[in-house]
Amino acid sequence: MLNKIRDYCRDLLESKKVEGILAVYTENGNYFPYFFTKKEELNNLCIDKKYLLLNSVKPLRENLVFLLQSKMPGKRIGILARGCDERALFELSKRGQVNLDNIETIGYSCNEEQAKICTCPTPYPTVNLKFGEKVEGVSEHKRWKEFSQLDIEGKRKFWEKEFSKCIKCFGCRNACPICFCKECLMEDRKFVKGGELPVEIPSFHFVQRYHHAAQCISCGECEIACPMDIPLRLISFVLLNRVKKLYDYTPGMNPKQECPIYTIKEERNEEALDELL
Amino acid sequence: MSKSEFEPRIVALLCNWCTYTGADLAGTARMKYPPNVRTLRVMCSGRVDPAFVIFALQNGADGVMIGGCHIGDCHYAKGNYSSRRRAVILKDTLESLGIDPRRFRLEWISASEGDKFAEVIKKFTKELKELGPNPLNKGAQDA
Repeated sequence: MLNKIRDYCRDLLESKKVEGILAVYTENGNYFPYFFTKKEELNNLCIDKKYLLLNSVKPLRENLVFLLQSKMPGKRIGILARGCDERALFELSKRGQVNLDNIETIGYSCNEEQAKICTCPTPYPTVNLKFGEKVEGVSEHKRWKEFSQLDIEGKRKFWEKEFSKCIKCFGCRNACPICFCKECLMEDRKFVKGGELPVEIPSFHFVQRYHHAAQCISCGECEIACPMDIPLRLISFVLLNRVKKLYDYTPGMNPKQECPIYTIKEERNEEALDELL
Repeated sequence: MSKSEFEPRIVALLCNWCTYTGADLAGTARMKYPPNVRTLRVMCSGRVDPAFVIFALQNGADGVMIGGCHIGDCHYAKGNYSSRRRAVILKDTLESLGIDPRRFRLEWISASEGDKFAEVIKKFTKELKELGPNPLNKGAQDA
């Protein structure tokens, strides 16, 4: 697959269809995101290491595509995207962070092993899949069985134990491609004490989980980044299933579909929701 | 503290145009309702960030209520639609965090429904008394 992708990228660069291609560069075992503009460099292109290209760049809190687009306005940019990259692109474009019109997405799928590491429900790009095949994702969190058997009091104790491990490193927020707010509620000194432990339970983690209820693209970066192994995505899985059931919406699947929680475009009959309150 | 002595604290975030005026009407009409409620005026029920609800519960409230205009009557056209969509998701979040979702309520009370406001507060207070003190609230004193 790697050679096919390299050939395809070389063609794209030669025909000047794109200004450059954003992908992962590897050298001496290190890997990092890189903007490929010369075809000789493509020998260092790497696809087997995960590096979410849409991660926001600290401390600017803006993603690489946004920075590239503001540096070369109007130019076409290619991006070698996994499923999570594509979903992040769609969600960010809905919020005006990237301009999808000038982006050429080259999608490739992950294998089952990679999907397992990230607990990814859709390990392939749904719209722009060019290389690889759609493989079955993981639809359940690895600690879901243990968690789902708990009652309300048990869940509270579970989170009290898990959240008290938190060291407020902000890794979950910094790793998240969807977190681009410059003013973050997790840093608001009215609500969160700066530099003090233990963490506020549960508001510190709740803020991010809730705000991503209908945005989380299930890339798994927050859990990978967490040094204390807090199973943050247990809540996200519950919320995403709920949003799908109520509003028929899965984040990152369709760039045209608006987020149901923040955009109320059609005043359709929603009386059924009143019964759930 | 035994359950019979327990007086719950309710934080009510009320919309300026309907529920706050409704609460005002309940007061001027001298309707009787429990004194457990602390009201906060917001311009629209759609302005309430779900984080406010969690912060209230964490800092000493036993129950939180959001009051807004009836669907279709919102002063800002669609504020209460988004408020409703959020509230449904918030209930699920509360449940998966181990907080009883009955501690949170969203009610539609218009400016002329003072009696409904009194009724809702009575019902909510009774329900919270049965639920007992909020476990998130560690030793905060009634104030």
